[in-house]
Amino acid sequence: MKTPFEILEVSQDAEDEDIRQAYLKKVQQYPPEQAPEQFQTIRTAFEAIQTSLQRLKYQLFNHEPPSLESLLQLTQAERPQVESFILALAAQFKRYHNDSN
Amino acid sequence: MSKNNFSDSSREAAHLLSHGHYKKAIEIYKHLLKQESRSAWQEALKLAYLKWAQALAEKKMYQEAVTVWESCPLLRHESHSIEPYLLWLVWAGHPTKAIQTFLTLQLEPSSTQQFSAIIGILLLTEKGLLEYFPPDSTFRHHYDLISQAIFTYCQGEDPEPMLRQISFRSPYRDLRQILKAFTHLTPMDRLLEKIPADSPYQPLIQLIQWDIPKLLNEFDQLTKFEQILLTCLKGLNHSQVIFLNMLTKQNNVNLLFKNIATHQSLLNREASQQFCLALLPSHPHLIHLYEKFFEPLSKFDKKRIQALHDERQGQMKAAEKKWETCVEILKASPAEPDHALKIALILRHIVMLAELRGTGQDDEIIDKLKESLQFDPKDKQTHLHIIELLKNKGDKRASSLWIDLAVKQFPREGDILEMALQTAWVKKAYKKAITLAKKLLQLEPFHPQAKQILFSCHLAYTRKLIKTGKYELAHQELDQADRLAQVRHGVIPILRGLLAWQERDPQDPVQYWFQQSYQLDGGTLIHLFHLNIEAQLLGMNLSFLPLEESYLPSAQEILRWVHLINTYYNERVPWLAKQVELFKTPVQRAMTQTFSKTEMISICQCFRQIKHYELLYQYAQHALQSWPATPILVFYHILGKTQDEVFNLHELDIELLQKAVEHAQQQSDQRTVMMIMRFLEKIIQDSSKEFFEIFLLEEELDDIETPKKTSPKQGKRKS
Repeated sequence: MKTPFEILEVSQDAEDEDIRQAYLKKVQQYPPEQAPEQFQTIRTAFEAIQTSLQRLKYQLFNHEPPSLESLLQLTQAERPQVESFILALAAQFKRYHNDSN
Repeated sequence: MSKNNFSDSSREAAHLLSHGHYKKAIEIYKHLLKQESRSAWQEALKLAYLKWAQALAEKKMYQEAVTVWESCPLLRHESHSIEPYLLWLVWAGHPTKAIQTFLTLQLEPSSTQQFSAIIGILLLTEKGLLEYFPPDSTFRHHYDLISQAIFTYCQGEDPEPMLRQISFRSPYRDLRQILKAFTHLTPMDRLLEKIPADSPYQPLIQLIQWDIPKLLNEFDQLTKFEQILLTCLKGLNHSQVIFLNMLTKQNNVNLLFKNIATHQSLLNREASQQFCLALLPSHPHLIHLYEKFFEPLSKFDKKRIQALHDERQGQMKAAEKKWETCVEILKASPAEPDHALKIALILRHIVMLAELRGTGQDDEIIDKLKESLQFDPKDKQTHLHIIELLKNKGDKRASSLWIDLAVKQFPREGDILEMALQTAWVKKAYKKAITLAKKLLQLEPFHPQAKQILFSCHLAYTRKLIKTGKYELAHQELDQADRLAQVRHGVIPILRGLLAWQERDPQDPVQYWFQQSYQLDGGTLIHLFHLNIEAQLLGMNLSFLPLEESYLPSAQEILRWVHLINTYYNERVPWLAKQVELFKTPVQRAMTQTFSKTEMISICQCFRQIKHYELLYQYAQHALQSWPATPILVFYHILGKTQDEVFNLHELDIELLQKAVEHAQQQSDQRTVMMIMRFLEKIIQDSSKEFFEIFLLEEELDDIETPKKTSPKQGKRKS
């Protein structure tokens, strides 16, 4: 299960404004009228950690085991290297050609 | 060759062409054209070459297709045949020639979209091809934009300014969409689904859409090259993903923990530590490993982890004890960050656990909540919780004190003010209620309850002032009430009239006020009733002229009168039934007026509320003539008949009530169901259980036992 921090893609030491901005960004991606389930997940996550008091509560009382996915997301670099991107493009183009054949 | 021969040959060539024998058709057309240069034969020849080339291309024989196409110079002038030729050149391994042809023919990317998209990819992925494009060509321009966008994106910046310049007709329009999806401004799937299914970027899109769980779980199914590529696209290195993939197969949590802790440098150190720390409440025996690989845990954190573990195991009492220890540890450690807030939160958490267990003592819970406020006084929910618990305990004094405290602490919270207002109103602390209502209306100018209570308080206070002889102040209170009343009530002129009567002020004619109130009340019944009530409330020994014997109130007047009774009921005037009794005869007569079902039900409800059973019975009985078997009316009828005493119930009444419950359930009228069941529950309270069980099982009447406990009215039930 994802933590509220993972859902909003913010660090554990994020401040109120960072969390709020992350929430708004997520809502832009998943507006309630177009993605109601995802929006609800995002909203619940935001309400769980939107103030410092709530974050403290979460840190004191949360006992859900973490997921490896969260570890991976925290580990990964934000963007790929340019070379990797081009290599992937080339490889996939070759695949396109082979599949077309 | 004769004309006849031309015809035959032409027909034969057309036949061969239509049946896919392109080579033979071409030979015939060439032969014909040597004889005569006819445009129809030239067109047919071109078509034959083109179809032949297409047939070869379909068999993936691209080189052959190119050769055939090039054998017919006429095809160079056919615009629709150029793009396929260029594509065959690329697939045959001659991208350079394709580009040169493209440039020689001065084609534009917009007219050869598929070819341009493919060349676009090749420009990015193959060295040397870009040189063939002139510096000012459209392709170069788009290439520069997209490569800058890719670079900007990979640097961690927003490529939007470059992407915005790439138009719909650009060879890079699909790649623009992919980069937009990467920057996550819009959900990725929604952007990517706009890319056509035949786009050369589709395989890349499918690769990109692998999410993290799929990556971890299906990593083994990828080729090595794909594994490397995918991990790079996801911003990881290969070792990391191999390691994580291995971890997903790890069932032993001890090994999992140890592996992550040991290889934290391979992953993100902070992430590894957070992960391992989050694992401890479910596996507290790993605390020593955590301390070995990361850092020592404080006494508080160790106890906290153990408390969380107990909670996970469902051992709430043990968890509470450990949390209490946490509180003691924190009290002894004032240097701990957020020390006071943590104590408060933990105390409230202990309360939550105790309430979940259902065995927590109210006093202990209240004490803990009070203690939490010492460390965090500004928590509104805790105040409200304490007040609720004190009310449930029946400790009105204490709950009242806490409400006052809450008002001081949260002077601008509407819900607190509303609660305080209700309490003051119930306690008949009118002056206080007026102050609170005014404060609430400042915050919420349209709060309906506040306005109503404020109005009622002014009236109640006015009565108090009149009774104590403070007439001047009474006038002022009435002026304030008058300013509030949105719907002009007869009550204000009535009170002014009674006040004038008390004051014996010759300048203030009582009759004038009573005439005013009569007009506002809109009926003799209401008006006399109103005068009686107010006089009684003021303790005045006044009697007014009785209603004429023949007076017949209209339906409207009865409804307004009922509304008035309800208003006084809400103001907790206790002797309403007695006052209603004085007007029983005209009210009984009015029963035959035209009322709707809803109106009849609301009239019956009013009589039930004030416990005037006779009118309740009569009105319900009359209503049942128009709406037979209506569950609520059946109930009211029986309630009126038995005067709300179950011992006055006959067996038939019970049967009718049972049927009413069934009907109400069918109509989803849960309110009526509950009302009847609550009434019938009184039988359980006063009778043996066996009797009630028999009732529920619908046994024969003969089997129903006589209840053991007797009451004065018991004799009316049939055995």
